[in-house]
Amino acid sequence: MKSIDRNFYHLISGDMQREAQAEPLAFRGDNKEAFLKWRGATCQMLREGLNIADEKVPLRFQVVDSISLGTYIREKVIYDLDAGLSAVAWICRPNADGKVKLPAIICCHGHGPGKDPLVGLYQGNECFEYHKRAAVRLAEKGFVTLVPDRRGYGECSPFLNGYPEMADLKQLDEFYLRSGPNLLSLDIFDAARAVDVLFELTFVDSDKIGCLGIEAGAAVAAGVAALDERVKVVSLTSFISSAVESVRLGGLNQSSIRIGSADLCSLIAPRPLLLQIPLADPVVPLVCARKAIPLMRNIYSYFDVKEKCAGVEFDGVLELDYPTLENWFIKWNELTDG
Amino acid sequence: MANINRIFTISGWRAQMVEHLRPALSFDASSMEDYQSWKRGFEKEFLKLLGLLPEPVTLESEVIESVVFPTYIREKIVFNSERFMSVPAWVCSPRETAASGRHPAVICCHGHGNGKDALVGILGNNKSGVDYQKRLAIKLAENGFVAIAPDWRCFGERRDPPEILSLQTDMCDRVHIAVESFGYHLLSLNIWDGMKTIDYLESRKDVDPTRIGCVGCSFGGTMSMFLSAADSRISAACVSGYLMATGDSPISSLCGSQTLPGLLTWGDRAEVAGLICPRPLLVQIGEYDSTFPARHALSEFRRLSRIYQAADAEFKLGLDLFEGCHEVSTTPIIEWFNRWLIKL
Repeated sequence: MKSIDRNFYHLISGDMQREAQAEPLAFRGDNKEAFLKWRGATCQMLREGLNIADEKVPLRFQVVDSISLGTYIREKVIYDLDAGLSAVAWICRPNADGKVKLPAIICCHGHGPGKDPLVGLYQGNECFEYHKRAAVRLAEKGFVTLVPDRRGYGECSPFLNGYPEMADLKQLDEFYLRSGPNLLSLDIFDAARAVDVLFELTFVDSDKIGCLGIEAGAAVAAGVAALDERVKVVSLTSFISSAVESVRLGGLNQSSIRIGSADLCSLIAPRPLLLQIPLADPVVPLVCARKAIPLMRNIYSYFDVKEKCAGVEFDGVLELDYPTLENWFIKWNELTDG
Repeated sequence: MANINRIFTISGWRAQMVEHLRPALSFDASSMEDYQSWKRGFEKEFLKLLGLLPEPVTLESEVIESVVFPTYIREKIVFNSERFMSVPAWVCSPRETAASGRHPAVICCHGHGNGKDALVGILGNNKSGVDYQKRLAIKLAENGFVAIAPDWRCFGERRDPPEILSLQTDMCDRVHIAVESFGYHLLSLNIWDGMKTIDYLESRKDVDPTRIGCVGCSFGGTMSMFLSAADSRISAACVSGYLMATGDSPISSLCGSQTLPGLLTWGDRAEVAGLICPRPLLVQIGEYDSTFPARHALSEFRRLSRIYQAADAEFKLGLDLFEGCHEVSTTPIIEWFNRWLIKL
């Protein structure tokens, strides 16, 4: 009997069709000129793929809560993303007089209840988990940290306790796809709005804006750093991989764009980029992460700045490695001073 | 009408029970005499709480397979622990024979997940990799120990297929109920299997039976603590990502594999860990462990340290508070067993 490939499961069918739609964007050259050409074309395509209106609405930035917590000040802020949607975020900053402009870092959370764990909170309670209160600890080291809720999370969530399940996020993604860009594209747009916010804050040095992210938050951080050169220093945890296509941007009403995480990260070159690789990462296989690091360092070598790209393995699970992250931001911030 | 506070939920009831809890043998002393008296009393009640244990049978152990890796040797072995139950386990041993011919051994207790496999770097779908237990058995073998990692009941090869027992989070609870109708507790049966694992180690010619350690994280920490408390043949232990007062665990994270009915009427986890005293015990706490938060873990550790102080054995109690989550930190564990099972 003739063997015919059949599939009866519609979700797989949908995935297969999407896979067939476009080749992933991938750099295949071997020199700086080829890379710059590829980068220009790729960034252009990504920006078009995001399909986000060029005209921005005013931020209408407001501080709605402010509390001094001894070693730092924590503020809750709101601002507009577009004509119909606002964002909620924490700002943590040192107890400074405001005369000296401070470096700032946008912190993109991973899965969980949103922005709160990055400031050591969850529903009003103390929260210690894989985000390791990084926003607070960086503020204690002299940085201004801005921690927005991503769409579907925390105070920007229609889901129980602001803690979406994967099925909830898929539902949200499909909702956005009906009218334009997918959820990740919109999260990247929102992160660019967070950069706009930092530019408006008088106590922030707008030449020293960094970005960090973990897991899905790292995809957002990588995306905004790739497309927005106002971001000067980057740290990504549990993201880099040699997998050919791991990030999907754009929307279904236009060509869907797929790009590997290493290729997306390469767009950040030659700006300082820390890639944190937990040895026991349940999300990105270690072997894939390790394979991607030489590719990245090769790209940075085109600019003679290999030292600006570091792949750091650490004995951890899905978690930030705070000490190396802090050192990275301090090091490149100080070098900018010099 | 009188204003009466009524409670309708189990979590509300449990919170009140915890608040009004006064365990009969909670450790509260400082002298050696008081410690010895407390230990006699609590040990007696602890053994009663373990309840019914199976009848011993001969191990009839077999080596199913043996693979030589560049830095260690891995065997799959199996032995009988009771009339109707066998235990599969990985044994990782050093490539080089010890000068004495016998190595110290460490029982590696797996936590929730795919059972024993993660301890030797085998993850789901037979892929190689690392999880929160970080291939600990391999690392111990590479450092001169014979490391054995058995599957506990309802994990790994001892897990029923999904058409018999669905892969739901209440798997441990179902099995706890299943064995309870025969008068057993699931935790006690697993402790029994741990004791038989020690019997097996004692039967191996390459193991020094006077130098056996035990380690585990999460549910593995439960096993390491209860097994070391119940069997004094374990001469050094490490409990990682587990030590915390029972009442500090939210009701949603309670588990049928990790409960000993009636324990709270006599003491809590600090008292069980106190039965390991004066043997060496390392407690590991990830500062960012959201399952066993450090502030709760440290509170129970402080109670445990009073037992070691009273026994003049404070130097045998170690605390490793590390910048991590719900995971083992392997280097301090290897150093701990080096110190107490090799250097001594």
